[in-house]
Amino acid sequence: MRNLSITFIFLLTSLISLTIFVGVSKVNDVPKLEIITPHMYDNEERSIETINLSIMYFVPKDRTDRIKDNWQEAAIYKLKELQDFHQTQFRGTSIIDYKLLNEIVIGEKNAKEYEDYFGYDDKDSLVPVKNEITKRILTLDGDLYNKSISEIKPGERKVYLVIFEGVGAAGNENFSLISRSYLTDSMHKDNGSTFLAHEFYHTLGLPDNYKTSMKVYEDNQQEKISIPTKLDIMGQVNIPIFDTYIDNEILNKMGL
Amino acid sequence: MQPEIPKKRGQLRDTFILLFIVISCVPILVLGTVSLYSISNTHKKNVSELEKQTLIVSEEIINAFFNEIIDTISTKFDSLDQSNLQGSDVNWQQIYAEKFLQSNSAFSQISFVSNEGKEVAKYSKFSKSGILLNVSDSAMFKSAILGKVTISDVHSTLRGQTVTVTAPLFVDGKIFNVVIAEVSLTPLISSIEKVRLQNKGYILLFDKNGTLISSKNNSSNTQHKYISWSRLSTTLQGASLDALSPDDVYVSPVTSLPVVGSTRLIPDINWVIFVEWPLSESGLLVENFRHTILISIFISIVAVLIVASYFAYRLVRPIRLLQNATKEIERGNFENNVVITTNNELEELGDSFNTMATGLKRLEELKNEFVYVAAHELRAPVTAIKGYMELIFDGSGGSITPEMEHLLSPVRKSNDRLVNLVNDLLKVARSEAGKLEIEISPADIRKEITAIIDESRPLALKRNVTINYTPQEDLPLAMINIGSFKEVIMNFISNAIKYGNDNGIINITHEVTDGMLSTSVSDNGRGISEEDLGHLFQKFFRAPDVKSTEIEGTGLGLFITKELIEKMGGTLSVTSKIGEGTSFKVSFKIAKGPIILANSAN
Repeated sequence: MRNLSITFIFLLTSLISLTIFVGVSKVNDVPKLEIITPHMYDNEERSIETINLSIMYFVPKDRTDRIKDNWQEAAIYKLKELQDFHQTQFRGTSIIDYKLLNEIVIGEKNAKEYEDYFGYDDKDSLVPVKNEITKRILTLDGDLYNKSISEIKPGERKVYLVIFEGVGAAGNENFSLISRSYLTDSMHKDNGSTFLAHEFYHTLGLPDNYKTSMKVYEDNQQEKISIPTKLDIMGQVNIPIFDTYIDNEILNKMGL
Repeated sequence: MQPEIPKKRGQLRDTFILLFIVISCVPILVLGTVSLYSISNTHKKNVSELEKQTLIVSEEIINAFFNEIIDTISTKFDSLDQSNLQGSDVNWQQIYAEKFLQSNSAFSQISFVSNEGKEVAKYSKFSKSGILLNVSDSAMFKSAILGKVTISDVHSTLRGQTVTVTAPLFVDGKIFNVVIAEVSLTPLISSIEKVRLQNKGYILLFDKNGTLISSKNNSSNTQHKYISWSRLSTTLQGASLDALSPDDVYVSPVTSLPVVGSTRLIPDINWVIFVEWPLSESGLLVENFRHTILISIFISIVAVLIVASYFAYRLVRPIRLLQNATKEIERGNFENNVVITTNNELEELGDSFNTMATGLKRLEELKNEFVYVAAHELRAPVTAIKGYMELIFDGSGGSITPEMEHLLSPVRKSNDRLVNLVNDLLKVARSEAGKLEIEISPADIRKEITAIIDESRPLALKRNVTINYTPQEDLPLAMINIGSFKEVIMNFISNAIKYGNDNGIINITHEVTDGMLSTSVSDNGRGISEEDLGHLFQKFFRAPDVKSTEIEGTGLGLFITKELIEKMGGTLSVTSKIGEGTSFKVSFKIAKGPIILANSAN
């Protein structure tokens, strides 16, 4: 009886083993892959998972006659293209939330006092605009202080975009500036968003992918020309935002 | 009458079942295992081959796509004069840029670049051509100017994923321009996504940075760094995976489906093709086979168990029949025939057994007849001798001298023994011949026992044995035959006196339980061993330790006692311990009727 019991147990065990193990492929679990954690260019400690973008229309005091009433509508249109572009580049790991300051900021100075700086290096080009905005809008006792524009939530990257009534485009640290004409004028219909995005990405630390050179003509006239080192959005801006991209080397240094 | 087959399992049956199971089931299991492994391995190879073919087809699609692109933009102009081209007013590059763009829907922008790195013509599909750039510092231009065709990393634009293809333009065998083409991967992705392995198998494409080339590039699953996936990185290093290894069955991190996958590297562009075939489809056919085989194995084993049990039963049954019949013969029952219909040697054995039983029965009958006749014939002479001996000792033949008494006493005793033996033999013979008829009726056994005790007193006094008997006053009547009952009690008491010790004690007690009246006769004599107890009621049995004594006996007393008790419908049991004594217990049915109280207990 004991031998029969042992035999039955053996048969049962064999059947179970056949069913579970023989000819059955074990499915390996989902491999643990690194998750994209986007950050500032070459700075892993500063996350850009959420970017809080505040936009204001800055008009020098001598240019109030050029104010465009439809600036918000134009800005929103371009900002949506920026958001879509950003989503594509960062595969949804970084989002841009934007907020427009409804009131137009009339500068304390004339246009020239601001524009003279635009020809300088990026570090200095925005000094007067940035200082004035900081003093008047972002500081508690500023005459145009705006709490929602100035507040910074923990963990988010706070940047500012100044739509300038005048000529110029620049970006550094957390401030970027773009001429209002890029948003509203028909001649910039195709590349206005690209300009806006280019300057915006400087606030995330992206460098330019071009170098400037002086072209000397036969009559010794010189012209400053840009020579792109890469053909991405940081190398060339005169193409529609739909046809451009951020170079992989840059994306690599931003966590992708 | 067929004897009843005992239900207890024997070793032969278990051994047979075990052997049958082992001999039948082990090959089934081995074959089943081999089949399952073979099917699995063959299936793996088939899947691997199918996936390999799919990879090859996909690679051909990709190579064809890029070959067409490159062939278009690296057109070689043999018939044009280089010096004429340089001095020409016609911007032929602009014309060719437009032509190239229209020749392939994948082109989104074509530009011609001079050897100095300045764009001389640009044509874009989606917008105005834009400013002509100086690209002399771009790595792709520098590579193309040296004669190399380059394909950039995959870029993600809002119109879809693109690459930049740069190629030298030859005129008369020399590099005249560099052509830079922005190429949309949408047509290629569309072609690749149409490639199917059966219905559910699909292709994944990655560039050398681990970028997933897909129309769904913005989905949540692309938030992983696929370059950290070991399958991708291994393939980028040149190793192709062929769906034959256990690691090739996994849950896809892209689609989250359990799949079997293969990979292949496209060396010229360092892209990796994955083919993944969901197990829900790829394993379906083999799963059906597996289930069929497993079910067949299970059914076969169950069938083996049933058949083994049946054949074991058929094998052992005749043996059990013979065994049982042997026991009946041992008990003296020669009437049962063994019927075996196996149509083989076992049936012949059964027939022989029945013949032997018939012979034994005849022998038994002859023996009984002989005993009866011998006892019957002996009875007359020994009874006569007894009678005349009585007369002599009574003095009817005159007074006898002490010498004559001394000589005649042994003769008288021997004859008395002979008379007892003849009487016992007659009783046994009658009983076995079925001639012992006993009628039972209600009787007060106290009266009979008291009478027997009185008869036994002379014998008891000789050995100073005390007989104790104090029956209950409300003792019911029992269904007995008075004569036979007295004989039974006399036998117990006389044995207790004979085989007991001097100054011994005999206790007679009663017990009423479950409709039976029991009488126990217990002594404190020599006792009977356990071995001898088993033979106590056999004919002519006398315990070995008694045989060696002078105690007389025929060895038939207890056999006759047992026969009488059974004929009266009673039961008999005995307990004993060496040196402590023996107790005989006989039980009879209580008569149904009023209880008659005794007048005196003694």
